[in-house]
Amino acid sequence: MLEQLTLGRYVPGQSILHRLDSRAKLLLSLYLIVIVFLTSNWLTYVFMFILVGGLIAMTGLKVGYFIRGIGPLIWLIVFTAVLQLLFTPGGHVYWHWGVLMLTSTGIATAVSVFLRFLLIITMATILTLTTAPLAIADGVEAMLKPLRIVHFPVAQTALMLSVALRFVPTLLDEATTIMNAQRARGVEFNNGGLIKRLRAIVPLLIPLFVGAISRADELATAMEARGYQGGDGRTKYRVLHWRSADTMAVISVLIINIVLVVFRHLN
Amino acid sequence: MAAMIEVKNLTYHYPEVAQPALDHISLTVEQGEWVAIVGHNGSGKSTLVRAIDGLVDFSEGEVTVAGIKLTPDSVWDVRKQIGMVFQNPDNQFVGATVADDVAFGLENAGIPRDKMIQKVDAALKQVDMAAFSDREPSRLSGGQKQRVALAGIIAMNPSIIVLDEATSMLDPHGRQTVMDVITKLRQSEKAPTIISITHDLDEAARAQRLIVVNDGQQLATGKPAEIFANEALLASSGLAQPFSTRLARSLAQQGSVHPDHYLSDTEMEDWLWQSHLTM
Repeated sequence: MLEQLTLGRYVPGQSILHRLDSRAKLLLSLYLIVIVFLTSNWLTYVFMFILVGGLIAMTGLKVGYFIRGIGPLIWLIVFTAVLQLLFTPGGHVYWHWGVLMLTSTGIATAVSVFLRFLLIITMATILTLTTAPLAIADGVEAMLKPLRIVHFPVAQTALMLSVALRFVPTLLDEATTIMNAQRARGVEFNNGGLIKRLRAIVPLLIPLFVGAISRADELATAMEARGYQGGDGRTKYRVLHWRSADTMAVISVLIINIVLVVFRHLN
Repeated sequence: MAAMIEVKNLTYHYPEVAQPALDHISLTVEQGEWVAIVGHNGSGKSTLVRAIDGLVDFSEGEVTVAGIKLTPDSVWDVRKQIGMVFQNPDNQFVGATVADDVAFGLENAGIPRDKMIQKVDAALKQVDMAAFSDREPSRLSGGQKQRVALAGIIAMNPSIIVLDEATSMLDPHGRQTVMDVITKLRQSEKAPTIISITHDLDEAARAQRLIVVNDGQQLATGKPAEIFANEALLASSGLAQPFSTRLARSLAQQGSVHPDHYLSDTEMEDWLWQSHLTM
């Protein structure tokens, strides 16, 4: 189950999007997600979908990855769209029964919610599929840097983030091992009602926590033995490079923004 | 030869445990020496090397490493002299990739980046892991992770390397490759002092000197051959006998001729060949 999740997974590649600076990618993705809300008429939607299609083509990855990325969330999207569809008053009323109604405004909102969701999820998937978790951590660190002025521990937060990411596969392995060990001793994880299932989680969670604490203890000892004295006075092995392609990406996103605003005011 | 590590009267109690983990222990390790510390589980071996690195606060005694007396102020200087490889390869891997992990110690020391890159590359080459530099730890085997841990220490170029059961979680092949790296290091110009804590008798036999620790005390010290020949000592410290000793004993029980002193596996092999010829 855990292996099939594409959302947040990284697929190595050599495309332009893969090679962009992670700071640029992170900022621009967030920016693109925000300007999705500028979409209003069919022209803007067509434009955004062509754009996202172009970005997918640029990643050089199979379309299947993106479809599977949306898969687990499709029910959430449909649910939200249906709520919008049935409970939005206004405009021409086609049908109504008690509080449920089908109106022209409702249909329009439902469609736009559906399309915006689709756009946002696809763009987030493009970011995670083309950016290694480590690069995302580096990007986040770079973006946190201004917070140094207010004495925010940027270096420590960055280290925590990178250690956390590094331990995700290790802890997933451990969780699977514990789960299998408990299964071998007769614990059923996928049976029974809510209470029974929650109780079955305890023999998984407690050993996982205890294991994580002892790992943290050993890691801290190893770090201290290797001379880690906190964030100050450290040099960095990994540095980010801003290239001309990154500047180009920023310019193109700004152009996209302008086009979107222009299209919004057409009609 | 100058003394690299001097431990005098070291005593340490774990909180809320009556029995001391280290009980007035004193020992000296010479510069460039390879010493193996052996003893059963809970005998205080790990606590001893951790105390030498300043990782546990001992209550009594004195530790001097490379002429520096261990105090709360000098602890970071002492740690610079010592590189430690721990038991679990997963729980000491700090970096997100192999190269990042090797660079971690250098980052802490504030080494400039261009120098750091050279040192990381050189260290990875020395442990035969250069092709893996951008791999993540989850894609490596235990033996490979342990080699990366060693590279992280080699890059720092410490005068002392401590292996705290560094090979105990590895398969025989992984153990062999880690040991080969250590042997290669010993042949280099500036051979580091090595302290290895181990349950593996073959590994212990490679050391120049063994220190047997039991209940936080030093029970005996001597050449591996001397220690392994002393059956009473091995029994009282809960250690297994090496294969060649067991073979010699079986030979004696069968009533055939057997060597009268300890022989290593290869020596035993030679002895058997020769005795067969003369028989």
